[in-house]
Amino acid sequence: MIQHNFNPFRKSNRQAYSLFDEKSSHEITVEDELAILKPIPKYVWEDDYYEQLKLELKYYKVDIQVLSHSEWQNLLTTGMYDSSKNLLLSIFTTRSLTVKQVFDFIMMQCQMTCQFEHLKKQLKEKSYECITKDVHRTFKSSDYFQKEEVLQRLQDILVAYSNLDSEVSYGQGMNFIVAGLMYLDFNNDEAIFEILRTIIMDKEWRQLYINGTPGLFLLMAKFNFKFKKRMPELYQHFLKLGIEDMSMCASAFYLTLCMQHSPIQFSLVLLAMFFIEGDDIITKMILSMIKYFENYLLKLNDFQLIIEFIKRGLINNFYREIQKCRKQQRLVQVLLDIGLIKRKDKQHKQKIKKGLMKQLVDRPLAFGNDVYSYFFR
Amino acid sequence: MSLGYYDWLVKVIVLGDSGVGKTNILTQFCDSKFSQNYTATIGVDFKIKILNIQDKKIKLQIWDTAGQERFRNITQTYYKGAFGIIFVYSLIDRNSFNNVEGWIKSILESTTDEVCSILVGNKLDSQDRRVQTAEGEKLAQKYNMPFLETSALENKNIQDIFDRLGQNLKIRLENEGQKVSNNTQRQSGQFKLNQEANQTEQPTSSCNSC
Repeated sequence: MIQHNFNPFRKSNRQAYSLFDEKSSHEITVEDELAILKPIPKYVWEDDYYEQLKLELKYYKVDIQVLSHSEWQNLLTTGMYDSSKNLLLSIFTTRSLTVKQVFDFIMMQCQMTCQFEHLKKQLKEKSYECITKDVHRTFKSSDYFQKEEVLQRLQDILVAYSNLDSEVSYGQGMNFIVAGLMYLDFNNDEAIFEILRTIIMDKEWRQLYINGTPGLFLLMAKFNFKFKKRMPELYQHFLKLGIEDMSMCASAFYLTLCMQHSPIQFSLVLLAMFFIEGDDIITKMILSMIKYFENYLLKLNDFQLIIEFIKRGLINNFYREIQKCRKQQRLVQVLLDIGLIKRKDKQHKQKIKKGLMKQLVDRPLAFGNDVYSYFFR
Repeated sequence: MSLGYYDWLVKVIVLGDSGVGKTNILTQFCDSKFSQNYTATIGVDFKIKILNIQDKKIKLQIWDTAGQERFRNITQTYYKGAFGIIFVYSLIDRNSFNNVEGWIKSILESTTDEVCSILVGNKLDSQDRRVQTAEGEKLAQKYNMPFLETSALENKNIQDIFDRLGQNLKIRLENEGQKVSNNTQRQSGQFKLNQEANQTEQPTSSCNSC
């Protein structure tokens, strides 16, 4: 239900929405992986939000500037942009980029190594059993991934990486990253290979796939810690139901880089954000999404329903909700509430000059620089 | 008795190499279908099913794990509090049979509690058999667990896996229940297996009041 002429700046309207509210939100649905395999729209977001976003940011005193349409074009052609503007929020909210352009943007961040052609040949002495097995069970429900030539391409890319990096070789989850990018159908296997290579080698993602998966343990420890700190009530609720370790629902997000149970155009935006910011952004986004649905999750009292929702429904539903928020013109408010962006005045607070005592305490301790010698020198 | 009623809630883990059909066994058992559209399991998946063993209802919370060798460390963190283990290998994949002993050992190493296990050789429907029945039986005997050959595709012996496991679980739970019957009376509401570490050897039976 969209209210026409809804003005978010009117005082009476400001508190009209809480984060997730059954009356004003979509019905929650948990779909299977087919959600990713819908036809891909031209743009990630249907509506142009640029002017509205500027207004809202100003209203909420958020000191962030986003890239305009022409600046995006400039960035894509020259690779330059005004660094005082926030690339992260820009890519999350813009309509200026088509899905193809987001893909190109990611590609821009990768170094081309021109190794794909000779790496994709299978070596005789090596076994690719695991790859072959998984190629045939990646998005099996889609017609696209029934085609022999598509599966062959998928296999080629995974084999090429396996040949490049014998220590990692192939880890489950990589198949979904490659398949998701292939589904976009830009027919650029070499670029996909380079993106995979950059993710794993340059972005420290190797630690997730090498034997013993130490990186995954580290990320999950971080995730659990932040989850507990940010949503203590939900944490207690989960604990009561026997979900003591979030890794059972969140580890797949990292291994597949959110490419499995989410609309592919939105996964691509998340991937672009990952390229800008690094692994923290995935944790931040997942936590923000859980935060958005906190009220809903608190009402669920079933172990399986919660896990199913987080594993399969979280990103899908979040994407739909954000689309709806844009229509209701309350995007900035939501982003503030889930902690993706921060208010101006909060940043100001840190800049306030500290008192004398505080200055003293903060100064590094050195000979003649302790409290005692300050007063009694 | 309402539909949600059960006597015990039990955590069961399914282990075995990648591609042996763990997920298919579970979808066949829980949803009574064989899906050609299966996908590789990333991380861990769950199924819930209530099993009737004689007069008791056992609610199984089945954890379906990723099979690739390198994820074994993260899989091991899920062992805690498990009462039933299903080891799966594929009859047409010699390696998966050779590796199954490794899976058994990893359980023996990390849990001190006695668990009810069962060994399953899947893909009985295939003509291209690489592991003989006798070999499976021998391995099962060595570790003192029941053994079955199944086909998730043809739904052959799938129900039997869980009936056998359920029988053992029931005996086990009843024994435990007698030992700690004093404890159980103090416990109210549902019993959650993996709530606290020490709960695994504490009460193992309680009546769910719904």
